[in-house]
Amino acid sequence: MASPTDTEPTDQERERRRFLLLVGSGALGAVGLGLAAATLRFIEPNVLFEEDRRFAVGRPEDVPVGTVLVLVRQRVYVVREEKGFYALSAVCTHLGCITRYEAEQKGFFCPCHGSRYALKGTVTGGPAPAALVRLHLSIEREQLVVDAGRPAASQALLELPA
Amino acid sequence: MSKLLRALTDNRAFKSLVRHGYPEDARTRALAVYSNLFLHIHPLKVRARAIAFPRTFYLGGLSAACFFLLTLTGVALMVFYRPAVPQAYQDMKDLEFVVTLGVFTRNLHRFAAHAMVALVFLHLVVTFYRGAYRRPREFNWALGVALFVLTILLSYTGYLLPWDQLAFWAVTVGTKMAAAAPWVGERLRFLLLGGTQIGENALLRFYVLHCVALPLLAVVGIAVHVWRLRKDGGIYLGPAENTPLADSEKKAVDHEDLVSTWPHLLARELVAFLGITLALVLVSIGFNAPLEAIADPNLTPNPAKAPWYFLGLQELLHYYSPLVSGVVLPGLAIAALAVIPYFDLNLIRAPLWGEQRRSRLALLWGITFAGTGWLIFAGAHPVWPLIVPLLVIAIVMSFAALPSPPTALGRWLAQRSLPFWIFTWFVVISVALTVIGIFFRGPNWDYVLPWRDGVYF
Repeated sequence: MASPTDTEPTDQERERRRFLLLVGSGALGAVGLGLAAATLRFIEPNVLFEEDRRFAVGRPEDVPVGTVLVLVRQRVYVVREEKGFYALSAVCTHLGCITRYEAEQKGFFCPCHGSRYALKGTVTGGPAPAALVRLHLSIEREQLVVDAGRPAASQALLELPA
Repeated sequence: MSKLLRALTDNRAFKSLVRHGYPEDARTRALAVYSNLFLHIHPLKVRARAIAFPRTFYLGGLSAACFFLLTLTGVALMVFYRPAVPQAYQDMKDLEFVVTLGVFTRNLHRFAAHAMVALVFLHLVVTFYRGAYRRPREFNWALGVALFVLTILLSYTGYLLPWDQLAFWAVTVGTKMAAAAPWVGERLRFLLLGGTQIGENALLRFYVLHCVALPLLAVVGIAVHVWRLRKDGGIYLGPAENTPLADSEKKAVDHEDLVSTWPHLLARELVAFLGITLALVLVSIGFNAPLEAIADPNLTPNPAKAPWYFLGLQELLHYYSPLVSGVVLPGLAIAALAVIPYFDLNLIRAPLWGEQRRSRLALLWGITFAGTGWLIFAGAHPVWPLIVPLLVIAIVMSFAALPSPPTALGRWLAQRSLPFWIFTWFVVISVALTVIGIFFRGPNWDYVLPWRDGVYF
């Protein structure tokens, strides 16, 4: 390798250096982007140790019409009406606080930003952008089973006449 | 005395450390700054006017002092803290009941963090009204805005670590806000939490961000910020607002009030640092940092409030969807802040209320009415804390536009630039929303009167 000198480059040399500079920094930039993407992928967990959200509530015939079961640990409401059952996620659709059931007002209510929901889950006040999410319900071995990890249609009802 | 000092400094050991001996004349005072790694970010001499307290209120320096205190207390707290569930909360209890000076150290950390958020915000406000954001300081202003956001992120990531109810629900609300961002929001929340729920992964990630990643960014950012301040000519003394800058600023250098950095600036820095330290120590002795019950994902406290500097946002969230109030409005505010200096007009050549007075007034009121209409109908309720300041500022601007302002105040207002009005609106609504969120919101996020119902905070 030639020892470094500070002689003025010719125009041709200058042009070559600028070309190499662009190619080199472009290559470094691409490597940088690749590293950033790899880092993002690295911090994305592949396995989650989060609990199974399926659970049994009990035998449907034990729940009288008009009951609202408040399942605190699972953050789920199960409502029994004339025609059958539906399950609602208690998580407010606004920012994820846990709503409360207010029996005297026949509705659910979020303490964080004041959203209100009717028993059906529809919004009756406050900033909530959508109704409470209905959850998948089924009967397995005579037990009412909620899958809190599986949203159902907005009018979903497990028909089971009283 | 001077004999003792000489004995201590006039020997080979001291001189191997500090070659020039104790600085007492102009030459050694210059060398004291010039030859010291930590001090050489300062110029050798500064102007007396620049280091006067009322010019800057030392807000930048006091913010840096808080950062320094936070680093010291933070490292100390790390010795007793494990970022795991439920150890994190148990460790908080240990700090409270078992560790000598544990409560004090945590209090100091907590209150220094609150102080830093407030001081950085005030620093931003004073810097703006001083006009110090203008050319050639645009980049440093934008960097300052970034450091303000970083300060809030540092405080916010620390908020989860105690793993109590306060922490858990503040972070629940905050990360849901991030999730409302279009396209990337859900993924961002997933990466931030390391899962779909706030659990052990989230705690560890917040811990790493709080203790390593963000402080590293902050150190680099603060260093560049101070360096650029120096390169852009030091503390802004600027000619009065609205005159062309940059060149005249250089010409106007007045050598008469130059004083040496050692001891004049350094002594002021030391006193400012000791002052804020003393204040925070006194507060930490008098008040305890809150620690509620252990985090319970099934039980939302009522009301559930975010950290105080987010209560303006939380108040906004009461009116608009998370997308609008959690992402769009704050994003626009931050972007607008950062680009302000690039749109600052030369008001001598093109005053805001010049020949196009009528058309600009029409535009002003057009925007005001459209904005008011949108603020009324886009949200769940009319947002008075946003509407009233908007109308008041539009009215004051219209007065300022009168052809010949009758009073000195009127003339002063007539010379204000557009960014001045926008920034003032930003400051007024942020303060108003934050105060309402802190003091006037209670259970169910209903209005309360703090003197009647108490403060829910």
